Amino acid sequence: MKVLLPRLRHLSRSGGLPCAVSFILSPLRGYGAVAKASQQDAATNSSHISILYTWAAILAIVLFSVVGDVLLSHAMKQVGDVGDLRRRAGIATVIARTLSNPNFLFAVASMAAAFFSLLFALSWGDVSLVAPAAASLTFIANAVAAKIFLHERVDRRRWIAAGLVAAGVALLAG
Amino acid sequence: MNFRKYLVLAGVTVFAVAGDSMLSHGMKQVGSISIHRLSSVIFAVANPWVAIGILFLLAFFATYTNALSWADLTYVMPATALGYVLLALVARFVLHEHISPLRWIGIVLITAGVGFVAGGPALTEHPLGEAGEMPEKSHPVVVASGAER
Repeated sequence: MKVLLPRLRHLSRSGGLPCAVSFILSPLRGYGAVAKASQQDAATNSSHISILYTWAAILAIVLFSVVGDVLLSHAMKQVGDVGDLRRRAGIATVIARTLSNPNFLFAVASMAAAFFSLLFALSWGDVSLVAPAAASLTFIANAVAAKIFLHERVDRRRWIAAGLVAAGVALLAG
Repeated sequence: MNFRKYLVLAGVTVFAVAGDSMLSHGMKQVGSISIHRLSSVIFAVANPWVAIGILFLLAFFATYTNALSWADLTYVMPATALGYVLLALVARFVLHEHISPLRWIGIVLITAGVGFVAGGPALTEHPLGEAGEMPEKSHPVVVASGAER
């Protein structure tokens, strides 16, 4: 904190917010470019409907991401520690066992659905709302889903962590 | 948790950031793609940045899958969030861009969250990541969540 404080003071004076915003969001700009073209189309719709659509798409992103993450985690627990498996049976066995796991395939399909939901969300809403909202809601929802479906012991330590990370992501990407 | 596993977690973070950044850089060179001609996105792969970005994202997926084979989802998740911190730090110290106080608070929160989780056990059934006998032990979990779905 001692190191941070002078820097914070320096930064608050220099006010370089737009640069940082544009850089931190830069990974999304590739997808945003796809969406931008349709933003003019969306502008003809009433803004209320587009807000509703945006949040529906954000919820779809969160839902598909969580389903994908939970299924992938579940699939990989079925496959087992791939490091040990590779040492015992070789890399070919690892790949074969992973790709033949139905949960793994459903997980990939769900993650693809999440990606397309992201494209839709970006075509209706602003990237500065969509990215942090979807990311931080996914963190919280993942913790809940991991506890319910994967029976992970989400103790106080992990709840606090999920909350901190979600808040941090919202601040950083917001 | 041994050195190899920390290396895998580091790979999750670094590959995601590198892949996303390269893809973004490449897509900016490719330019805007009309939503009505989404198929033209296929030609974007011809851009070397996009191609390398995709390779990095594949590496990310491989390391993420690897990590999930021996650690809880709630353990690996925060590691992916470290990518945001890494991006911000690269912006600050390599590209010399300015980070607002609010963003520094975000960085501190994420780092604290990751620290919280990393201090605890990686896997629910096996504290400290002795995940060698996973398949047998995880079987009840398999049945239970299979039914849930």
